[in-house]
Amino acid sequence: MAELILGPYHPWLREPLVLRLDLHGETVRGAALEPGFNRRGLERLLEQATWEGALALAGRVCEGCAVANTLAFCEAVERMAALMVPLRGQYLRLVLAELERARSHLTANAALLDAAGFPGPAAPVLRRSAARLEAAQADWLGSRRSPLSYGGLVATADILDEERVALITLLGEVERAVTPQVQAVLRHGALARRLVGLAVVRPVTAERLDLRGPVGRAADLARDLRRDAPGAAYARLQAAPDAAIPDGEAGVAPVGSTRVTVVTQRGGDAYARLSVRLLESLESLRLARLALDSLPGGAVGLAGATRADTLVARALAGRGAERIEALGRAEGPRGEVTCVVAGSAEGPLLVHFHTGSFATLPAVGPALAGCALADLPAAYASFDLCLACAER
Amino acid sequence: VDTAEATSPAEPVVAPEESQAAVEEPVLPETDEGPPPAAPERGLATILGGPVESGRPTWLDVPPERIGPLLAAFADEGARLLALTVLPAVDPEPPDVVALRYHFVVSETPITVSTRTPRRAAPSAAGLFPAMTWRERELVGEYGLRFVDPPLEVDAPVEQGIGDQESPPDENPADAPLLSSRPPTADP
Repeated sequence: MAELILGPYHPWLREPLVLRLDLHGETVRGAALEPGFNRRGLERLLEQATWEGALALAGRVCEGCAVANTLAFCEAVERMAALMVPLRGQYLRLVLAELERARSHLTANAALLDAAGFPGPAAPVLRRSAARLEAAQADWLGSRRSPLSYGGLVATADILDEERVALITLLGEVERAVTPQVQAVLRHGALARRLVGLAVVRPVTAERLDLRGPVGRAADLARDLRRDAPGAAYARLQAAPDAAIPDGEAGVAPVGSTRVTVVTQRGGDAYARLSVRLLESLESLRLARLALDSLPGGAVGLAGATRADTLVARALAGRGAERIEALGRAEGPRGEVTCVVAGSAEGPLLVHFHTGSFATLPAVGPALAGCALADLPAAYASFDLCLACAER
Repeated sequence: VDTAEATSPAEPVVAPEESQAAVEEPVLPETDEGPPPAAPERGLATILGGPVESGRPTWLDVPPERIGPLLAAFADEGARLLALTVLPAVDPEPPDVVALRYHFVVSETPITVSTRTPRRAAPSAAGLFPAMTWRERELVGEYGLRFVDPPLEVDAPVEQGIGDQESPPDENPADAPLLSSRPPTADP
């Protein structure tokens, strides 16, 4: 037996973390995760912030899940203040969330394929596609700053018609580029032999630990907020008839069903997690395209949304209670984000994020036990842990 | 705002000051042999005074001695405990008392259970809801809480007690298809 300690800074850990491994020869007999190096005290800062400042801080919990975290936070505040989000704002929030999910899944899968030594162009194509999505979103918004605000989006985040058409076209191109790579990866026998049975999380464990997102769905836990508790835009989209949207001005293929497909696997292993993310990224591209295709008119946010402090303070003061608490939820790339907010007209008193990666952390150590040391980078990458989200 | 294009807001959460569902005290048997054992909690429908109203957030304010049986009732009901929070001391209260909030969802309906508990003897939910193990350890560090009978000691290795141990064997048949896609459910 030997002990191997990796981290807190190691090339394939991507984020600071100590990984203690008990090795028996080349086999990992036990693994323990020691996080805590990424803790920034953001929840404490949020307690001292104004409503406007809190919005910016919520987006800084994690760069990769900024939309999901901010959405959950905004939903909680909007419940507290009884703010209504215009439908166009809801649709554009959906587009932003799906773009973020597609980007995150494509990047995570590229990292996993690299870690597994997958030959061929799949990893570079996925990574380049994610970069194209990010650039297109920056073109639309004019900056990389989160456009989300209480009651919708900031007014400058509205999408012009030519930008909408360009984005639909780009989504179609990315989908056409990614689809053959997804097929190539899922048909690759050597990759399947390496990843099937690697770092297994059993369905009973997933259920007991209440795992969220792709890690849970890869262990047959068919939970997805977009289907189970859809927000206004997802509900409206899914209520639409399942007719294919005709080939429009963007010249892309019909988007097909309006339903959100929840992709699940039963294996709970690295291959299952890879498959779920690959198929979900295609689904996200489709949903974003569908929402842009059927984008309703109107405002993207409430009047006065640019003055967040005043907007929320007035709404909360109007409700008369000294302190109000609410729960916000959003389906992020790494699973459901739960955000608890308590506050008054002056600002938040408590903000807590319970993210998908935080839920996944306890499952990783036991799942790594039994891996060959050479497979460890792929096994770890398959969980797509985000320690920024987990540690706040 | 164009109200014609605006969606209905989600049902706002009722503030604890505004509405608190009263939890009926159970009728306990009288006995001379010390305090009676905790009575088994009744079903959630009884606790809530009716079936869970779909989508409408519900608030329960309960004394700390009722938390254990109540958590068991939620676990029996298959509820998910989404988050566990401590409200900072905003009300005048003794420094050794904290306000704990358990945020459940039952059939996608949020139910918040609130209690005030001694800081050094908070009831642990991690035994029934292992997903809260790490969260309770966070609260130990952040607020100086001590949980009563946590299934995992705070200084224990993180993998202890929450892994695959004692899991029943999987029932995945060998010939099960690798990919499966659940049909979407109809909208309510």
